[in-house]
Amino acid sequence: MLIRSKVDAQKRADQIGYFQVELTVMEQENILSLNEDQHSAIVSYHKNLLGELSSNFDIDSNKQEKQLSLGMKITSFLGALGLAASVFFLFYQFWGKFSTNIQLFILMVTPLIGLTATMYVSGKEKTGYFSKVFGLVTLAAFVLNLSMLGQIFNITPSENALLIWAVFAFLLAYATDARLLLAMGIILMASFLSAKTGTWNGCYWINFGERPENFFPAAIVLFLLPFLPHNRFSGFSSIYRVFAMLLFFIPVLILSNWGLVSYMNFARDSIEILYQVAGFVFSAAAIFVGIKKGWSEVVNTGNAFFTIFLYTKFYDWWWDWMPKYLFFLVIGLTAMLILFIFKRLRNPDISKEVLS
Amino acid sequence: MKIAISSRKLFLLAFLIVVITNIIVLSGVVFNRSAEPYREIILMERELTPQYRVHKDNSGLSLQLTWRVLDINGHKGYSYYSRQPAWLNREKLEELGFNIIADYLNSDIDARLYKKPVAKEVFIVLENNGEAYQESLTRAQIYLEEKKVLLSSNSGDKRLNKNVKEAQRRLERERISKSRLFAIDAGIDSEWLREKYSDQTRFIIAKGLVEPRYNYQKKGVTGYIKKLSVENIHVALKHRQLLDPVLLKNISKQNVNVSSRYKVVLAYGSRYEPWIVAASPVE
Repeated sequence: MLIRSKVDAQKRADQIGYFQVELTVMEQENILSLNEDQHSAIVSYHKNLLGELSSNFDIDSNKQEKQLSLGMKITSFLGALGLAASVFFLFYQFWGKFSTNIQLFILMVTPLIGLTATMYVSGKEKTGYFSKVFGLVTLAAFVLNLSMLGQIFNITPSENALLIWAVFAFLLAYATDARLLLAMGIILMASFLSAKTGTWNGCYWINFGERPENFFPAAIVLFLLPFLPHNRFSGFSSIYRVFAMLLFFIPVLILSNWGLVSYMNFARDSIEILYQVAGFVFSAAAIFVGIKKGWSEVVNTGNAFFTIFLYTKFYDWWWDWMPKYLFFLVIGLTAMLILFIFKRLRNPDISKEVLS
Repeated sequence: MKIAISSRKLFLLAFLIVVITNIIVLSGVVFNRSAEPYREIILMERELTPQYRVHKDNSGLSLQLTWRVLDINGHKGYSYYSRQPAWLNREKLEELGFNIIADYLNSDIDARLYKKPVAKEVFIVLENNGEAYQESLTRAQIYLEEKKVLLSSNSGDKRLNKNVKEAQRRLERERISKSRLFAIDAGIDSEWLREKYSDQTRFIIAKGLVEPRYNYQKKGVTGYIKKLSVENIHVALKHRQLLDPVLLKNISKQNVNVSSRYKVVLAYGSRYEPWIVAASPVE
């Protein structure tokens, strides 16, 4: 098994754990009996392998370590947000007391110092917790850098700043293998692409949210990006796909209920019906493709949106005239039906048949 | 396809992005401020107002460019926040690139009434202390005369008496404290606007956002100026040393008519971005 990322290493360590538990059960039930040499060879092999994985990828080798890691992830996330906000407010608190030259010096040097610190920490630390914190603070410093230059010199706001910040966030995310920074990069890049789509269609860039169709090109680009190899990076492909689906289905949901914000000049009802159909078709297609490719996040997101589209339609059709007990009964029964279908799909023989 | 760039190279690229972006931004600033032509205009506090509420966590200071329009509803349509000038009609909007018939006046009645328009960035001409301001003064005078005529026929009416006093206060504010900066035209060809409004001491050409709106009273589409792209002008430390003592003088009562306490020389560069050249207290 080729181990290229921390996720791969963790999977292998978990696999070893399950094997050891299963081996003990099989020995207790006298199905398998290994002699002393074979036993010690396996133990020694696993010990060396886990030691190697631990030193290279800092994996969690037991349940307690896993729980502790989760706590550390949450803490580092909160710490990163706190420090990033602190950098912002620190500058705002004192910048009025500095001359323009000193302001410029501070704004330009802070992200460079942040980058140096992130690079140093990521080289020294295997876990990546501190490099993620430093990375986010550095991104905040760079955002502050450009936005404050805009304020100091009264520069006309431009969507190009979003592109620069997005590229910077992506570089930091790939350099430190940080999903939080990747999410920041994706949000910034999606905003840039949507703003650009808006300007090509005659909008002022900052109003890109007023026409939800502006998000569709960004959704397509983000969905295609994980087709480039991402094996070295932990969970990056899933994050791209989830964001791509959110950027597609949320605008579709808005347009299916409020057709007047569409670019299309058809009657309002026609636009809403078109997007309602698109919502059902694409969410069902997402579930199908997700099962076929083994992308659990695509299945779950598709499932969530299919249910939302379905319930929205139920509300439109029945809320006003149906007794409330009956309406909620229908909702409940529908949920049971969906559960039944998914239970059937979980059966490997049936899912194989459906997908073939 | 194999992509394997080392972390060190990615960090190096990030360093380059920070440095190159700063160089590009600062080059743009230098270009804006050095390349001809640029224009300078003297504005008073009534046109460049300090923010009323300065946040305690922000030590910076900016002055807001306060501009007005001659309202579409004539002298009765008096509103401090009016952003619908009479000149920004349907023809003007089409000239600015809006496709009114296709986007806002189609056969679907719902769309005509509710379809949310999208804003465009165009060039807006602002006139300081010119004909538009004189017209605004005249409107305030006419309004006062009308209220006086109504009161003279019912001299004991308290409501009419109150209306006259309000009209007098409006005229007083027009004369002393309200901004004399008016948006008078818009276009997409900045060079043409520069030539047409060549008086550098009276006209500013700035970028701003315009959008069509359905006017229910007029039963048609009219234009609305949402904002100028740069409305808050940063005050550098060297100018603050002159302005801060003036700004610290308290105005004893809100809504009182006060004359401007300072004047500012504001320049607009080749990229239509402003900066403060000089600031001084008014004696």
